[in-house]
Amino acid sequence: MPTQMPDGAPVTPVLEVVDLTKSFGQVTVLRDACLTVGAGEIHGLVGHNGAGKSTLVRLVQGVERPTSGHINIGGERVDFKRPDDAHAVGVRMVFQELSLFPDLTVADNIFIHAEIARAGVIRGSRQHEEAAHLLGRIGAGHIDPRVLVGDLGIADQQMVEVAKAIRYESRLLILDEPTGSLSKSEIGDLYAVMRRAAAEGLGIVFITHHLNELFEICDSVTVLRDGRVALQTKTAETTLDAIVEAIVGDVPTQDVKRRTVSALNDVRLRVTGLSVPGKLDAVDVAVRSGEVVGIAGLAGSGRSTLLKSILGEIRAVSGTIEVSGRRVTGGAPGKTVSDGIAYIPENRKTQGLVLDHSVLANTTLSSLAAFARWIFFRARLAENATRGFINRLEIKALGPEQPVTELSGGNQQKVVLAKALATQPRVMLLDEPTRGVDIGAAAKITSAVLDEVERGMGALWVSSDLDELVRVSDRVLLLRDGSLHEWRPSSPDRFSQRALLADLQRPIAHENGVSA
Amino acid sequence: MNSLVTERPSESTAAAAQGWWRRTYRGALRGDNPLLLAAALLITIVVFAVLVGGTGYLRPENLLGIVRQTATISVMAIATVFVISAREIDLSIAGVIPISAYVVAMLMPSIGPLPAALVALAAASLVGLVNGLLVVSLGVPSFVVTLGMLGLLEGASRLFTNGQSVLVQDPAFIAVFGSGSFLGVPVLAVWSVGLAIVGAVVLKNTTVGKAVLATGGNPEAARVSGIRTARVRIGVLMLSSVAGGLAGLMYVGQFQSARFDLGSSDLLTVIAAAIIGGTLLSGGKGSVIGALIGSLLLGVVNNGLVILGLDAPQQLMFRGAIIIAAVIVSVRAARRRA
Repeated sequence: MPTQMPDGAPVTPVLEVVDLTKSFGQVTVLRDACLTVGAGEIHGLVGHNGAGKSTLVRLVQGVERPTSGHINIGGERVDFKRPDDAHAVGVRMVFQELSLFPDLTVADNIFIHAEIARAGVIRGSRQHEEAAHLLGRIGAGHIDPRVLVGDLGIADQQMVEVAKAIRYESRLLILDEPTGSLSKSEIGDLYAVMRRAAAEGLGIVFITHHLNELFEICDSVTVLRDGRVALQTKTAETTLDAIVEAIVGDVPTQDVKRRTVSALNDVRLRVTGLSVPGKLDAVDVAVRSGEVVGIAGLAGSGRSTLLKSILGEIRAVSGTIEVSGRRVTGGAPGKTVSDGIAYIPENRKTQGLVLDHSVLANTTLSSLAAFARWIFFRARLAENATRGFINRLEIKALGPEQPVTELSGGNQQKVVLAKALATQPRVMLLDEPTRGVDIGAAAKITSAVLDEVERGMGALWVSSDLDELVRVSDRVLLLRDGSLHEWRPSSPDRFSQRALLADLQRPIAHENGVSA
Repeated sequence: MNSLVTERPSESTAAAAQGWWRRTYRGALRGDNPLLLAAALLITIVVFAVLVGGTGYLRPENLLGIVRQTATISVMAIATVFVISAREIDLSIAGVIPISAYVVAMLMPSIGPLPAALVALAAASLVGLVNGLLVVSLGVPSFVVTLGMLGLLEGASRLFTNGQSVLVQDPAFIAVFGSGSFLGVPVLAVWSVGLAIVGAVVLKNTTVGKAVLATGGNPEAARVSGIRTARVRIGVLMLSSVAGGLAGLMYVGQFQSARFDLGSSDLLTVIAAAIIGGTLLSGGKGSVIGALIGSLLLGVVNNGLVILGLDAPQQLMFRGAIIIAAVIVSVRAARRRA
């Protein structure tokens, strides 16, 4: 529909990707990908992490060069050697992490590096007028060009990015997960901006993890899986289930070993009415001894906030937290950790480890008191304990004294786990514990946590790897719009990644409130 | 084995030996190794002995004199190691010197030397507490808070005393904090070496030291791991002020009077001593013994320059240059690790 002008004459597509293949050494990350985006078309691009989305985008942007195949922009074959080349023919990218200067005004940002100037002096009022005009064109006229970008909300910042993009002779706009950190109404505004930009004749590639958005805004969709195009169709001609099917592929449902968590097991963690403004709305959850409770939610749904506010790293405005019946509400991590909560943070480098310090120093960091007599550190005891963890978790290190910065990512993550296990926690909060970790290390980490769960620990496990979540969890809760909902697959055999991915995308109305 | 280390390519034995040399050399450059630093100290002494010639430079009296003159710097440098290791900085440390000096000198006649000294140290710790609370609760960088505090303290000690000095004549006080000896060793050397030993043990072998280093190495990771980083930060700033207070007592003991300009040029030297000693400006790593040797090294250099006939302005410039050199080495070491 949008590839034809109103008078019905066909026009050349803005973007044509023809048999694009990209290999890194032995590994092919994109194979024979084909994709066409017409003028005025909004084209959704979805797939798991690692399916090839970013590679495809990087090729179109000129960040990387294809191994074979080629790209046409506006019907002409191009060979980008660097991002500037793509820029020159009108390919713009709106990054997930915005590339604006927060301390400059909206107008300064829009005209950065291409200022309207006479004899080197910027003509500020002309720029302000032009900027206001551009913003008006995309329906973002409410943004004052004189305001500092850093004072705008994320949504408005994205609109400035879009305005900046159409300011140039742009033809193709690539939006990388723009909705992740936006509220519902902001998403609506962004959609309006996208529609206006498309109406001006731009082609738009829209990358998202929120599959329902495909049906709200996209004309067509491409699903990538394992570097290949798994599905390419008009959104009007497909269904959510078909897209989920294409994303997940034909994986056999694995046998999942279910633990039996008795209702008699003691409650290790009870969270009641936990609220964090704008993030969590009266969340209740209980984790029993020997139980893994999985938390599924889309990016930006507040999963990390939930764990951090239980830990006390983020202050909740209301709600209570109990560990084995003892109230720990309002405690900072220094208190909650000693009360039996262990935490595996999302980012091991910034939150998990003191990188320059040794395996031993990191392993003992959360349980210093346990390795001390009065204030004196018992080096021998700590060394033995660290060696124990090195053996048990198969940490590949030269010894307890090696700095963790010299270890691989998987082994670093094992040290984070060792630190948590060393506190002998009553309950463990895990935030993406296996992300960015090689398969072997991920398996070791998972089994080590599950072993501890067998011995009675409770675990609250956040992961965007739904397959992992389904495998490890005794039950799964969906975090959506700040509250938790018990996930009840329609039949027992539907306790699968596929079912979870589909349910995660469906409107809330299908579920009941949580009864944890 | 080498596959376990991601950053190092495989090494032959010869290359490994070369690598050892390079690491040792780098270690010496950033003062990782106290033995090498001590060697540098000895070499500097020998160089000055040769330069100065037969004027008795190497006589024990002169060398002990250096230790005595350096003691106040050493005591403050030891505390500064804790502060910098926790990724903070205390620019007000030397500003506490005249405060504690005046407090002890003015109270001593009425309440006696020991109570007066304790009150002076308590007053000093109060300064650190204010610094710490401002840093922790308001999130103001310690650089800014303590820079402001330095100005406040310097102004206050002049204002409230009209720039007058206060004499101290209590022989016991002067013996303990100034000219006395303990088992034939000058008390000032006992203070600095004794506190260095205590400090080294605390930083290396106690949970307190581990918490300080973790807080400086990665504050966020330390906090979510359960380290009470707010207490650590307040604690190191209080320790630093108490050390400044102790230095004030030691100045009064030596000069037998409290003056507003006591220690007024010490700040640069103190920080230089800590950094030369191998404490990383970026935090997470510190050496107390290194700071002791670093302060002695600076003392020896200063003493030698005086004997060679350089004036105060030239000494000041020399010290500034040494600090820049030390910081360059420290920053390069930090960058290499990143």
